[in-house]
Amino acid sequence: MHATDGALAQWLSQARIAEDRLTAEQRGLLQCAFAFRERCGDDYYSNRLLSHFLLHCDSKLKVAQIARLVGISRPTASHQQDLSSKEAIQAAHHRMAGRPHGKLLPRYAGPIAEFILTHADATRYDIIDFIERTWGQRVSTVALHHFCKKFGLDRATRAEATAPKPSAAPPSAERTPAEPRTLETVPPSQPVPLPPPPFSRRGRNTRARSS
Amino acid sequence: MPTALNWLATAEECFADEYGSLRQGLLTSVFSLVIGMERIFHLDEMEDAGFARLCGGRRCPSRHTVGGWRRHLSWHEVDAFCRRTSPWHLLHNEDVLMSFDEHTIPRWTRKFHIGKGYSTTRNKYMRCEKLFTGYDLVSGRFLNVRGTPGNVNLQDLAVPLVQQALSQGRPRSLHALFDAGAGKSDAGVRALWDLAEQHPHLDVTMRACRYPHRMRTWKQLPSGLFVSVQDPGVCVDAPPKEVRLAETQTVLKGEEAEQAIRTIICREVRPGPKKDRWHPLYTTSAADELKAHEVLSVYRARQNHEQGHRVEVHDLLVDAVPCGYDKESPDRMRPRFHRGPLQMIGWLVALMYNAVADLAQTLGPDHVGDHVRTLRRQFFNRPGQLYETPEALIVYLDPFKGQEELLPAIDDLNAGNHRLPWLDNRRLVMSLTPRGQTRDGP
Repeated sequence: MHATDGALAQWLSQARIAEDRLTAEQRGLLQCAFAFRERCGDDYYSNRLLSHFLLHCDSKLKVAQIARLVGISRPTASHQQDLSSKEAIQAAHHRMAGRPHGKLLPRYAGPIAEFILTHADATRYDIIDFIERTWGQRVSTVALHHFCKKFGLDRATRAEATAPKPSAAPPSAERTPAEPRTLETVPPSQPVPLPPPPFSRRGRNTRARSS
Repeated sequence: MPTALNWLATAEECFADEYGSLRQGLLTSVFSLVIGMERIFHLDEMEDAGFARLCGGRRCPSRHTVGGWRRHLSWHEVDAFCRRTSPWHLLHNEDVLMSFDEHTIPRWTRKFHIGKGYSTTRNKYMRCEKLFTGYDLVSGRFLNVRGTPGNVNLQDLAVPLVQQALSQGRPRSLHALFDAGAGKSDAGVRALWDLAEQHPHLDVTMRACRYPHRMRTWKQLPSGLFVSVQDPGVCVDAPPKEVRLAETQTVLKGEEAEQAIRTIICREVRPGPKKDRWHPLYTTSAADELKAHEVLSVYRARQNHEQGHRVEVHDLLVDAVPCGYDKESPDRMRPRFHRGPLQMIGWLVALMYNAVADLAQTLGPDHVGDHVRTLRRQFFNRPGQLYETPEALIVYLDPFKGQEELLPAIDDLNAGNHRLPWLDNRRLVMSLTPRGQTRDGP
């Protein structure tokens, strides 16, 4: 019993949870959770079930504390907080079936953008192959679609951005017709005056005599 | 960038942006320090697309926009910005060791008759302006700043600066260190000692001015009072330096013997025909709390503040801050003084110093204490590609040595989901070139 208590205390201290601040309900809950880990192990599936339970059982524990208890990152725990039980089990099934479950980090966006731009005719499977070659992670097409959409790299967003934008009204409709200018009348048998050189002033550019 | 966005948000609360130049003015002032742009007129030659996007637009800003924004900063708005962006949380409930010092910025104007001050680096009395700063010696960060004309001394600002640190930082205890400039007259020393009496958790230590009549008294102290302390030499093989310490009391001008203040005389014995060096220190700390050699070692930490000023000068170009005298004054012999531009850019330099120190700390123990120029060379001024999609601005850096050290900082930045308002709220994403990336065949 003492050994179990010591291991529990160690588990809690690793998660930076002060035992003396826990309520009686939280203490009981964490004892059961610890017993679950002891019995079922700390593999992915056990951790996933445990984290899903702890996140949704109204334990008043903080998300960061639960993340530290089950050994996942704080953003991951926060993401799992929004998932239903069905989605959690589906994710575990995907993983068990060997389907791609790699994670696309935001910092992959640069190389992927470069690849997409330099390989205009690349399919999504080419991009997935590129990701696997580069970072050694096999990601699903759905994950890739979400990633590309998030950073504006998907085909639809790119097509929309590069398409010429139609203006609200045709330019000819708004443009007012030029006013007809009256031609200068030239008396007959007189030379036509030469046009002034460009950028010259209309008036005289030398100072007139003072008197 | 996240830090700069926070400063921008604070500035938008503090400044009345009548001409709409605040964003470009502030961001350009910040990022020109990051990249090491020496003078504002170099903006005319800038064509870098990355720099333009850092500065709040798609094109590089004009120096007229930025200069106009800087010149019209009012002092009370700048004071509010400084107050809100100061890292006072570093002092809260801590035992703080803080140094206060001045940095002299020489001015070579002949047209305007501005106040003169002593420039220690040039060893002469010349036209100048000054920035007074407070520096936390424990964390190595600047805490406050005040811009003044050149004829203002540390003595004039010592008490207000300490009071600001006490009221804003609320430390558990504060030990304030001053150079001799804070005690040029005995009245200045007494003002600080009175402040220390008002605040029981405040201690003050300052180097005493070596006035001839005081030096004569100190040199006549009996040799039995001095205790020899061996200081390590300048390098491993160098012989240790001998320092002799004595404790005495100094009576300030016009005061009684009961009001005498504790004085520690440090005599650095120099070999050969050279004269010994004398470093007298006034301190309010009690003899039973801090021994003489402990006071000396505490006071020596003040050198880190001086080093901070040197980094500001050589790496962050603090001497290029806009001048405080008003060039449109009606009487050039008595120009008006505008504290705003001088203090604002001086404070941005200090903030940049702090931010770079924070970044160095996140990069790992190998980078703690790295100078700004080192980090700029290694990490900041790096070529790369920019991809501007409808949703994000992707910064893709070319590969460089040691790029893996940036990964935690880049992951934090990307996880922060920072959006750039001047680029239609696009998300900022940074990427590194993955190592071992397979290249396409020919």
